[in-house]
Amino acid sequence: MGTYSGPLGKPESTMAFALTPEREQQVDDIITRYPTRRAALIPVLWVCQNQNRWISPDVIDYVSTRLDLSAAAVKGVVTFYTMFHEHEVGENVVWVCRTLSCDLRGAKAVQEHLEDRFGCHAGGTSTNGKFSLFKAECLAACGQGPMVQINDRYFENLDLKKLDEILNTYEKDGANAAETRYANTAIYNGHVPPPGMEPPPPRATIPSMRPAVPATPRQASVAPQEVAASSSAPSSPPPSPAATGSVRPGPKSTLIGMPPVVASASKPPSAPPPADITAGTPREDAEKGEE
Amino acid sequence: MAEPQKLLTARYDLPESWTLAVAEKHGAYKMARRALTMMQPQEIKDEVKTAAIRGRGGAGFPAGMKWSFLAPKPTDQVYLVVNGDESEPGTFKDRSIMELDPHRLIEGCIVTCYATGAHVAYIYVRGELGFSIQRLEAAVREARSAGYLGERPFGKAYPVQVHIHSGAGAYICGEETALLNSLEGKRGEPRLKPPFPANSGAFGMPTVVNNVETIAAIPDILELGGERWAKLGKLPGDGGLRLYGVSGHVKRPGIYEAPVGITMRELIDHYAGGMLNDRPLKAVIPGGSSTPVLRPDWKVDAPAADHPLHAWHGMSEIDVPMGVDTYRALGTMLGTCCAIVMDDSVNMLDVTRNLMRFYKHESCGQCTPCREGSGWFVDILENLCDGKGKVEDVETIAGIANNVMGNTICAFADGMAMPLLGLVRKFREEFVAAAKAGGLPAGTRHDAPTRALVEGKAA
Repeated sequence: MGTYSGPLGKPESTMAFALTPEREQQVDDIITRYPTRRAALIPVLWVCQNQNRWISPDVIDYVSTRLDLSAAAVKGVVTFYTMFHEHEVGENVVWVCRTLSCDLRGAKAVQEHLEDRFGCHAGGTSTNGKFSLFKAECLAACGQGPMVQINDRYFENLDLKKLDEILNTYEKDGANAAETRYANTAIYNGHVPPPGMEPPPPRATIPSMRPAVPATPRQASVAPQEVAASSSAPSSPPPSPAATGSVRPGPKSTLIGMPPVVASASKPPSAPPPADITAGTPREDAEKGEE
Repeated sequence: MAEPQKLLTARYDLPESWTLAVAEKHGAYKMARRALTMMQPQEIKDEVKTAAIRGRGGAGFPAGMKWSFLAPKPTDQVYLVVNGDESEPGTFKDRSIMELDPHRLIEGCIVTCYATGAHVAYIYVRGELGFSIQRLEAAVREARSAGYLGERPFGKAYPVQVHIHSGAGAYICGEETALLNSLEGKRGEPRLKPPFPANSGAFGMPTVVNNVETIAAIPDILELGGERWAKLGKLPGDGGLRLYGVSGHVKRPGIYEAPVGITMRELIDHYAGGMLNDRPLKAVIPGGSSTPVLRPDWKVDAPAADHPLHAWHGMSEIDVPMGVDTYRALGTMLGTCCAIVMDDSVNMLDVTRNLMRFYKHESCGQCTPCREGSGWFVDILENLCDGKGKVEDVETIAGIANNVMGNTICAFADGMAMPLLGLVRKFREEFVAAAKAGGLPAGTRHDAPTRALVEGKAA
């Protein structure tokens, strides 16, 4: 515990860490928002981290004095929350989202590329000190994966070329330029009227992520009427839910490598109860049941 | 008169939709003005109750009923806390409200404060969403200087303050009592209930905790009237329009506003434009990672005439309307209505490992079953993926999951164990195959269909 002077508990300036006057003003404002001083803890830690880049022991000392808390209470909070850095980090902090939605769209490739480029593993700092790299759990940008967060901005719908452009801009022109040029807000695709109201709008694609993929290998492996069904309007008879289950010829199945048991298991066409999951994918049965 | 199809997203497309000038020109604060100047709090509460709005944060609790649990003593200071700690994997809807239409949320806060007797609202935004916080803070400043927040909003002597509170990266803070602890400057560890927040919430005072989307819908409910708003939804007791999110292997991932009660098939094929590369759908996680997976080739089994899903007996699971009650009857949960779509290239064991890594990282560590169980799940799944697993491991996972569920302070453990059990039940063959074959089949990765695109190589 420290001693205070002044109504808001300004510490005496014996501390190794001090905020700039503007940030002191910010802290004063934050404290007035809450009925207890302790509630200001996380916002005040943010103010400190924005200045110092990480929560050093001096910062903990400062915050505990400023908010009249024990250093242990402050440290406990710092260690609980992922975004408070307990060690020094680089100039910019890169978080790469590796949770399912982003991973389904290639986040692992993004992480590997960043590790190669920075010369460090996730959790480390690049050799030039410009970037620290961290693996993040879901960053709530699932519709626009893969994505990275750099400092407090999001960069979404990435491919490796775009990612390199962004990082080059950070290195050459600084964070502000990169954010102005590349960072994005929440993306909204536009309104889609309910089925049956109006024809759906032309399917706009999000840049650089969805090039047309040749459909030839697929058509070779599934019946043509299924292809037609799956691309028609949903008000028509429901398309076959899954064309899995049978052994699919062609390069794809070997490339993607479905588990062997799924590829080979095939049930006789008797309607199985849902609890029966011994079969790989009872697709033929499914179609009969629906149509 | 045609019913509106765009409410929450009505202003999303406008240039600079986040500024007061644009938002107000397109109807923002109209309802807050009417509520404060012409309505009684009880009238607002009645409208919200009639609207049958189910909480949009995942649990689906009726918002009107939640408000009615408040019984403040005269000396109590009631708080409104808006939960913007959106971090459930697959969920990304609230961010669009906070970044594209922050004034709708602030208007909802003003109305809700007035209806529930609160004078201070805290919007708790997860720390990662730095830009949402900037947009919201700018919007609060604008609203304050326009006189919509402060001592006399719209000339009424009913002070309302809205503060933005930033988290710092913890999924568990989306749990309402953990969020309250975090708001109070503590570690985000959930509290034992009771007492419920309605009795003892933020700073020990009666507190309403609602999701961002729920609060943002309140002005629309007043504008249309509860009854008409409720009828926008297609299901009884579950009204209105809501934001659906789609991510994963679809052509147009993103946020779509649609009535409550569309089917998953409509969401994927109609709204999201169908499957990426036209590959077949293998599985879909319907409402954020904590909801058990749906399998399109599984049928609804409801032969009894009084079963809530009898109307859909024999149809695919993804043809059941998406509602809180219908999905519960289906053995899953609607959650946040944000689906993760997976095509046939995906190995579900790989998916399960990915999700369990998330839960291991995010378990707050307060209760032993959850803290240890999440680690065990990851260890066992890693072993299975790496070829060090045994067939019995599949039973072990299910056994641990059953023991984790219901034995912890908060619902995190259930949110981890339920989808895990669902995945094991519906895709057991893939777990067993990996155990027998000595690991994941070579070349299998759940990012396989998009990896080439990201790397800029030919698909």
